[in-house]
Amino acid sequence: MPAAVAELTLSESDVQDDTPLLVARAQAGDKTAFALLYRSHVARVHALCRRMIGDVGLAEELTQDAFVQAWQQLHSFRGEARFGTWLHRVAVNTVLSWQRRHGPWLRWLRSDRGEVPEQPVEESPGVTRDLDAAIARLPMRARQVFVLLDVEGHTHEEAAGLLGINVGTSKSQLFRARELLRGMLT
Amino acid sequence: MNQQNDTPDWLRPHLKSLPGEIPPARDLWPNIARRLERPGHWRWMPAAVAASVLISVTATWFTWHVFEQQRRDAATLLAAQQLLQELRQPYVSVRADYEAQWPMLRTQLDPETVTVVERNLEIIHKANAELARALERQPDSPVLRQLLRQTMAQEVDVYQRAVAAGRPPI
Repeated sequence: MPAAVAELTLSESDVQDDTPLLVARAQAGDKTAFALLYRSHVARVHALCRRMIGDVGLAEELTQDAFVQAWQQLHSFRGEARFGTWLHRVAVNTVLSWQRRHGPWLRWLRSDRGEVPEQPVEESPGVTRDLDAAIARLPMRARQVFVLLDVEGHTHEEAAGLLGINVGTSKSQLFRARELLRGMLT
Repeated sequence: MNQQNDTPDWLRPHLKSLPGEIPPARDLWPNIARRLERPGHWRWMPAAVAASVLISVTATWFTWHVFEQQRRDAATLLAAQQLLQELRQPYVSVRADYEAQWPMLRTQLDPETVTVVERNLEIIHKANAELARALERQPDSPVLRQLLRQTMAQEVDVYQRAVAAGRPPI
């Protein structure tokens, strides 16, 4: 990876037109092309990981995992959807797979005595008016459903499919998330 | 995609102001690039298929591959053990100190606190052992490394709380 490429900072629009070409080059094993795709999508993927996992440090690690997964699965991308859409799904699956493997004792690690909230509370006690901070304080399932539906724009059917839950559960978790957020934001 | 027709009014302005992109605080590409260097399964599959037309070549390749795999496994295990040592190094002396203090300290605590502390330590040790095993398989996983550090920090924290609980009230 040439240093000059590593230092490039691109917006999505900068490479949008070139995305199919970059994807084709990356599929042929060109890491420089993949680095450019990374530059244009990393902020979006990182935002998704951060909101889904609710932890800044882990979000960076999972963002890396998502791009490694994307590289390894790139041969399966057929161009039927936009590359960004495909990458989004890879990132969601990366986060969910990680949570399935590590969730139970991660929750314990984050707790004081084994039963404390899923997110270490960094904010001062009281009202927080920042939606991102409030999302991070939601319980895991409610947070995932809220991020997929209200932030990322998926339908209940799509979110339920991704999370392996039924649509009714998705609806009840969304309701729960919104109620908790309303308590924190208003 | 969700049409968001049912989004409550109070939530809409919050969602509208939410940034679609949040850049990470550090450049993640160098780590990703390193991880991409490792050969993936799908990369050598075409070579394996091509080799299969000649049985003798396949047999030779297979033997070599098994040998290489074993060599890589051994190398990976060694690297993982070195990595574990490096990760645990900052905590070794502080843990040893607390472990040495614990028999005396537990006599100064009420039995219920001792039970809680020992239960927590047991859980941490189990998590630590599981992580060590996972790291032997995936030494490159930054997530596992971070979690191992967290468990060790958590262990020190449990001891510190126990020490604080053992101090006489001022």
